[in-house]
Amino acid sequence: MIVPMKRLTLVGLKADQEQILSALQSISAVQLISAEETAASEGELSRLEARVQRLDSAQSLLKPYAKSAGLLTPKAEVAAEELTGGIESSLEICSDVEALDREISLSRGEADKRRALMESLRPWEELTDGLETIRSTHNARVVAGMLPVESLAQLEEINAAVQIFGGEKEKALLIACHESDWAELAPILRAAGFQDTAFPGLTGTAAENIARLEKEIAEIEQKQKELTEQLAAMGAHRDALCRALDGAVIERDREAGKLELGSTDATFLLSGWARADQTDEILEKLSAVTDACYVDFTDPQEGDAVPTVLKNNKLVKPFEAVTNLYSLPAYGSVDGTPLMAPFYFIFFGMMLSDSVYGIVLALGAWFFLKKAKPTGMMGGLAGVLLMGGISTIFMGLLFGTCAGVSWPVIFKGTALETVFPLVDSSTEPIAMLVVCAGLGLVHMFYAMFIAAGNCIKNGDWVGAIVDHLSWVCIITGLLLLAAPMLGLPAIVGTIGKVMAIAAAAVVFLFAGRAKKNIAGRLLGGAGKLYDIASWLSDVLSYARIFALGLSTGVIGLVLNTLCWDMLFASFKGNPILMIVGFVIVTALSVALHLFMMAISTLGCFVHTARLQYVEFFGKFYEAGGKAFNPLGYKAKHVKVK
Amino acid sequence: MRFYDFLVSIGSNGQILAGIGAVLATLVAGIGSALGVGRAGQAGAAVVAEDPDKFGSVLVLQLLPGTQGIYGLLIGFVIASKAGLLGGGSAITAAAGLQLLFASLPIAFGGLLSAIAQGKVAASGIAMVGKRPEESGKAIIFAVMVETYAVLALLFSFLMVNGVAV
Repeated sequence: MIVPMKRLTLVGLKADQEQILSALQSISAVQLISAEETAASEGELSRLEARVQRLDSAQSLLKPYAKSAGLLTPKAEVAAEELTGGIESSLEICSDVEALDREISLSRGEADKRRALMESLRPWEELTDGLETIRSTHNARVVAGMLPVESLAQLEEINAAVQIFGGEKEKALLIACHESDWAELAPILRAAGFQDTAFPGLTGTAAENIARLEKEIAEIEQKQKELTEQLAAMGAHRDALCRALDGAVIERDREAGKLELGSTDATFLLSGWARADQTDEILEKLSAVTDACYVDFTDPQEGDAVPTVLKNNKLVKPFEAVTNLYSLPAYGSVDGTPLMAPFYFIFFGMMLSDSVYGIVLALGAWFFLKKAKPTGMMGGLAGVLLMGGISTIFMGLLFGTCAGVSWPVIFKGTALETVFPLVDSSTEPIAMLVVCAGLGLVHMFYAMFIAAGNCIKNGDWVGAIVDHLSWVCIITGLLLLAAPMLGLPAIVGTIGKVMAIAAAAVVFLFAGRAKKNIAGRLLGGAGKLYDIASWLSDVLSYARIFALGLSTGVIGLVLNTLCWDMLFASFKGNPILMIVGFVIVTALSVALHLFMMAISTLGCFVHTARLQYVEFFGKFYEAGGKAFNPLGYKAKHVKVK
Repeated sequence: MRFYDFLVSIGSNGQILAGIGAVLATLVAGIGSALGVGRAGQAGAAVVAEDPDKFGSVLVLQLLPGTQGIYGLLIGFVIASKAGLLGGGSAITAAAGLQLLFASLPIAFGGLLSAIAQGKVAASGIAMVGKRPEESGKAIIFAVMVETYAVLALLFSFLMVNGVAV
């Protein structure tokens, strides 16, 4: 269900502002609404924001060197004061980390510069003269440069002395000519793609220079290594940085909260949304801080953008994650979560439909929930998988398999052999399709009834009957029409016919009631009748339950055939080989089954969600709710007590 | 043997026809998935390079176009076991073989094209996750919309295979 909300108006003394905000933040119960004018604390806010940024980048720099917490380690529980108290000392660590990082990137730049110079000197390695000797004299022009190999032929006829050195694609050329010939030579060189090279400030031969650079690079790399080791040694501090980061975020959020308040010189005005069932808690918390404040709770007005909070019992709660993945319901509409949860439970089980997978999935999710205590989206998803796993255990028995082995094989010789599975999708596909379509119709009829209920709640009886209930009658009538084929009395078929025609007439006559003129109205009604096509495609959509269930079962069978009937059978005859083979094949088949289970679980999760979103929510759900985002402790790395 | 005789000998051998069907289902749908997953993976690498924490939701999106290959394998296996290609089966008629061949086509080509299309949607979805990680659920749903048609193709291929009398 959607929790009713109240609008909180609080007027307090400025002197108490920090404490009041702090108290409200600690219970995470109020979402602030922006006041018209904003208080001038933006300078302070940007200082706090910069602090958050610094701590964040420092902790991510240290991330590779810190011992990472395992997936199953729950977040430590820390008091808020402890988080904010460590900020100052962490900022000092932060400065050290930043200095180290700066030095490392500086020396990386130095090394890169030397490497580039070294590359440009390579072609000149064979030149035995010092680089400083390459310069023009009064009468002779000497140039050094690079030329593409394919252009070499163009220089054969020129009036100059040319010395050619190594290089594969480009050759290094040393050209000397008389000063008076240069004017003629320069354009030829340029046309051939010759590029001048200068060696500013370099003395000695190229080979000497390269050796020197190599030595320097090695020194820089050694220094870099030392710096990186220093950084790595600081990895142990990352935990403290993360905590300080969470603390800094808390302080920043509180400061940002101040921007939302209206104020005079002596007082401030706070307005915000709070859950109707938390008003007492808020009052209690406030009275502990000060009694010099005015507090009032009022019901939301028409047109207010009220945030949505969902409240459900323990069994349904995890499915809120599925609803949230779609969109929160608008405030004041229906929360689809408890309505779709039973269907989600059933459909997921039927799609995964393998009891062993169900057991593994349920145990895995339970273990994860117990050990890691995930919250938020992660916790919700784990809860959904736990429920889905439980459902799968039963649905596997009814419609599926047992680690790819069919139930009759397992129950061979017992009374249960002919009982389970109730419907075997691989031998009775049509029966299974009918089961899926039947469940789909129940699902969609339920959605229609909810939609009709919504209309009635708003006083729109006509809408409830014409747009929703009449469709239930049309589809039911059409199904009854087919009943005599299954051996039911002919009268049932006649009732069905009358029902379908009457309901269709209602749709035809009234569905276009918004239009003024009669022709437009009937045209609208006829158009609405065409929706029968979308009903057909919606029902077919539930065939995915069958298809995914089948796919789990058959893939399991394929794995078993490959592992046991083919691979293990090839070890037959030699007892020692058989023991070794048994171990290998068991490990292999467990790994393969786990892999397929993971892929199938993903498929089942998303396809079940799709059935809820498109076929179910599509008929009645009002999306577009805004999440309740109270001023609270948004700690990422620890759990605040 | 002339080429014509060769064709006739294939056309009149049920097991060869069924084998072609099994191969088509596995191979063609598999190609589709490989392309789709590959494309989504490239997009994923770009997003993860920026923010390694998004690996989880990106991986889910990358995996989605992979199911068509599995569906293809499934149909390929069902055909092969039905036609006795996995050993121990008796010969099936040419008509039955041809039916199995045709039964493989929906998942082969439905799988191929839907996996490619789904790969594109998944890649865009991954880009979306890069910008707005909180909306990854919607990106997944977009990709699942495409998969509907692979599921329908799988279903029909299976019904057809199941209906062939051997």
